[in-house]
Order: sequence, then structure tokens, then C-alpha cells
Amino acid sequence: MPAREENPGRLRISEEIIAGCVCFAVAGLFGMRTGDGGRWLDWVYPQWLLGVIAAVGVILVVRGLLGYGNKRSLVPPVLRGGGTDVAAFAVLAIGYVLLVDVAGFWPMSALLVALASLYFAGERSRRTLIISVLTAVAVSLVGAVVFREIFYIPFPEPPWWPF
Amino acid sequence: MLDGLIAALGPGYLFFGLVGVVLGILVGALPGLTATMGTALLLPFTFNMPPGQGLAMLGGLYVAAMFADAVPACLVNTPGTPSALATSFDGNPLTRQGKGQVALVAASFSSMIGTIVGALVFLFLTPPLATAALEFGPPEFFWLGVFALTIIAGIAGDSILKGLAGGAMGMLIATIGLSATGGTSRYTFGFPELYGGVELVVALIGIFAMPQVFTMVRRRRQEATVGQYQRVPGAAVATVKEILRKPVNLIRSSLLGAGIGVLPGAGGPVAALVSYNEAMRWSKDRQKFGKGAVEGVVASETANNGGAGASMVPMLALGVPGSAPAAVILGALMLQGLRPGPELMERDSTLVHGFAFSILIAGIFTFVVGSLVAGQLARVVTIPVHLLAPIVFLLSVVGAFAIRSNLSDVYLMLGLGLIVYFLMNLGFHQGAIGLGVILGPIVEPALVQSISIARSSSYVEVFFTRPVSIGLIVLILLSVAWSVWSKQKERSRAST
Repeated sequence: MPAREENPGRLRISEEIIAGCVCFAVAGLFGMRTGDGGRWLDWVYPQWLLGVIAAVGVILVVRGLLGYGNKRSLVPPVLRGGGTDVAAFAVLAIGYVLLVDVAGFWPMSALLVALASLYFAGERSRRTLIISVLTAVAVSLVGAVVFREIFYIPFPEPPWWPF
Repeated sequence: MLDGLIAALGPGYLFFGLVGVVLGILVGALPGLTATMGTALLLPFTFNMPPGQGLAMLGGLYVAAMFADAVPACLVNTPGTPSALATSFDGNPLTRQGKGQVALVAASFSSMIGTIVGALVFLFLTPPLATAALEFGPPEFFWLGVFALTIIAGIAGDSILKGLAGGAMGMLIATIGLSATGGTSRYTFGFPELYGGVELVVALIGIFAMPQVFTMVRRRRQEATVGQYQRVPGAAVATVKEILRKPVNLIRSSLLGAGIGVLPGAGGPVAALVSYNEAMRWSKDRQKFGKGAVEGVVASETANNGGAGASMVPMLALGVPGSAPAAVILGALMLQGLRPGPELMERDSTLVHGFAFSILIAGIFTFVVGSLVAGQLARVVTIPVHLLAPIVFLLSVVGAFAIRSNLSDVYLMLGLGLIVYFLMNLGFHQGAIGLGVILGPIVEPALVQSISIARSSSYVEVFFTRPVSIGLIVLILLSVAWSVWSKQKERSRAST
């Protein structure tokens, strides 16, 4: 497969090389802890998997050096186009899962849905605001009734939660 | 047997069977709620019921949940249970093309056919199949797992190498925690939460639902909705006709599902994956697979529902459940004072046959209810992305938490989602990673047990001389050779 230059003129690298490096990183990370105690038989299978991942990594890097694979910009995707939206959502999601234990599952869920839908709405108007808030409250209420009352799943609740 | 049929057609059986089906559709459609959890929750309600009606309700829930896991798989690319992984490969592309209704009708119809075949196997072949299942030892399970892994070559797209690496990464994720065979702590990186391992459904939500949410968010400026919805009058009839035009796929998938479902431990996921692989191999339109082939949805759903009925075979004949929900149903039988085994088959044959017929009827209920709601469910894709993405995220969090009521599962799900999204951007296939996570827990114990056996005899003898193993090895070699040959053929066709 010939290399494809998507947008020449900026510093670019073959996707195969990046993928190969990711394989090395995974193999390295798990390889460091391979054989930590226990009987050898419990490590045979993970060692075999690490070998496969590392071998594929070598082949991918060689392919990349030979010019195979699409060329990608070295500017992290998070700083480009829709990547900023993904980063914003990831930050919102991480904040939500960290606060959910303190602030309560369903109140935080309503807040997350309302904030995220408002942030990602194309136009911000009173109508969008009302729809976002109503959706968030409805989804959280239905979720709380179905999962807590019917399936008895003990979601985290804050001390001030009245129900 | 006629007594069993008459009992299954009684109002009590039919009513509780329908209740089970409706609850099963709810449980299966929500990621994180599994058929096992549903049957376990229903178990206490069966205490005071006549045994047959209680079994009809549990069986109905199991069968319907095995269909309904296709709903999130098709609509938001998130398999409701591991058995629906292969359904998502084609069900979601169909939905994005505006054919969500077709995908769901195909799933419900093929689930019905699979359930009927599974129930017939349960009715007529229980004693011989239960004995044959005992011939399947660790080496055979190992080779069966490897055979299911050969699907990677078919789904990995342009890069089989990245598919292979993705599959190995998935299998590595499945090794986290205490090893099943020796109890050694592996790859916990100092986090006590990881000692229990990565829960399969949590991993699948992270691998499939999270990247889907991030992709929706990334494309929101170009695509205001995930897909379109085309209301097609008579879609259900047209879809059924299209499926019936390829009866070989239905028959092959049903038999594979029932055959693999009989094996304790293999279950629906392996049956669905093997069946999907075979459908892809033998199809004249194999280039459509992964891009929205109805045949792919049919193969996967027929097989996983065929496995549901067949998993009752070793449970009732030997007391060895073929799947986790079958284990709960075994519990229900024992709570009623009934002991599974050859004695039950003779002494309470009306109950056993009534249960088999009620599973068959539940399959028909599932199709009726499923095809009625398919059109409405398919409209989900028309919800604007700015509302749908946070809702899918919230459902994913609920699903991940619900499995063990543990917030660390939610952190794990989110972390996995971010990593897989990054890997997908580099050309790794999320299906291959998911496949590794599902098959890892089947392949590893089988491999370790086989090695343990081989150390006291010979590796060649254990791995390569048993008749079933030889058959599976031949199938693996043929499968790999076919994949390489068809890729070469596609390339040469593309270059000319």
C-alpha cells in the first residue's frame, strides 16, 4: 500500500510507526510486571501474548520505515478540529465520575447530561436550554426509578438526598 | 411429550412466559444488565409458583435477553452482552444507513429460528449430546477458542497485523487480576480493585460504547444525528423474505449455535463468533460483511439464541449448566426440590418437555414483540447528537456500575474507552480487541490445563492426536488460508 500524504508541508510520521510504538509501550508496560510471583504456568500465556504484540510492533515499525501506511501530523489530534470537543467531553466525564461519589449519582448525572448537551448544541437559545434541562431531569428520573427501584442497584447517594 | 406441549400451551405457562419475554427485552436492551442478572432477580418470585410456570418465566427471560442484546449493538454499537459482539459488526452499519428497523427485525426473526432449533435439540437430543459434550476436554476448548479467534482476519479490515495485535491486547486485558487456574496476581499494578479482574461487560462497554460516544462528539459539527431513519412499510415481511431466501445461513448458524451451546463454558459468544465467521466465509457477498450485511446479523443472532436452548441440555441431563443463566435456572430447579439428571428426565418428563416447549414459544413471543417495537427503537438514531452522546455515556456508566455496584468499574470503563478510542485512530479494530477480551477467559484456562495434562504425558499427544482437536486444527488452517486467499483476491481485484 503506497504512503498517502494527507496534507504535506507539516511534520508528519507514518501511522504504522506510531502503531508499532504503541505495541512496544503495551508490551513494555505489561512485560515489566510479567513473572511477579506465582507459578510459571500462570505466566506462559501472558508471555506468549506479549511476544505477539512485540513482534507485530517490530513489523509495523519496519513497514512504516519502508514508507507504508498513512502519514499523520505530529500535532496531537486533541488540538485539532473535533479533537477539542472530545477532550472537553473527556474532561467533563472524568470530573463527573470523580464527583459522583460525593455529590450523588443521579443529581450529578442530571447535571452532566444538561451541561454536555448544552455545550455540544449547535445554537444556544432558551429552547435549547429548556430541552437540555428537561432531557437531563427526565433521563435521570427514569434511570433512578428503573435501576434503583426495580433492579435494586445501590447507586451512590449524598447525605442530603431526601429519597 | 404431548403432555409437555399441552402444559406449555396452558394459560399459566403462556402468561408467565410472556412476562419473562418482556422483562428479558428490557434487561437485554440495557447494557450492563445481563440475562444472568435478570434470571437471578426473578428467581425469588418463582419460589411460590408451580415449577413449570416458574421455569417458563425464567426461560422466556433468558431467550428474550439473548435477542435484546442486539438492540444496543445495532443502535449504538454497544453489545448488550458478549453474545451480541458479532451482531454489532453489521447491525450498527445497517442502522447508520437508515436500516435500523431491518437490522432489529432480522435479529428478532433469526433469534426466533435459533431458539426453535435450540429447543428442538433440547427436546430430542438431550441424552446423546450431553454424553458427547463430556468428550470435550481442555485441548478441544483451546482449539475451539483459537478457531473463534480466526475471525480477526475477517474483521480487521486493511491491517490483519493490527487486528492480531488488538486481539492480543484484548486477551492481555482479560489476564488482569487473579489467574483462574493458579490464583497468581497478575498486572494489578498495585491497585487492589484490579484483583477481581476486569469484568467482561465493563470491558465491552469501555471498548465499544465509550469510543462511540467520543466519535459522536468529534463528528457533531458534520453530523447532527448518528444516522437516518427510513420508515419502510412492510419492512418486517420484506426482511423475513430476504432472510428466508438464504436458508443455508439460517440452518448452519442454528446448528452451530446449538452444537456449541451444548458445551459447558463455551456458550453464546463463541457460537455467535464462529457462526459469523462461517457466514462470512461462505457468503457470495462477503465484501458486504462489516459494512451492513443482513446475513451477518442473522448468523450471529441465530447462533446465540440456538445456544440458549441447547445450554439446557447438559444442565438437565447432567446437572452441568452450559451457561451462566442456565446455572441460575439450575438453582431454581433445585430450590423446587428437583434434582437434574437422567432421573429427572424420566420421572418429571412432562416438566422437562413443557420447559422445552415454553422456550420454543418464548422464541415466537420474542419475534412478535421484537418486530413490533423495532420501528420505534430504530428512531433512536434521529435523536440529535448533543442529546444522544451524554445519554449513551450515562447509560454506559450505569451499565458498568450495575455489574458489581462498584465505582472502580466505572473508572476502568472510562479509561479503557479513552485508550481504545486512541487505538482506533491508529487503525486498530475495536472488534478485535473485544474478541480478545471475550475469548481470553476461554482460551487461557484450557491452554494451562492442557499443558498441565501434557506435562505428565506428551504435548503432541494432548494437543495434536485427539480426534476433535485434529478436526478443529484442520478447520483453523482452512480458515486462515481462506482469509489470506480472499484478501489477496480482493487486492488483485482492486488493482485491476
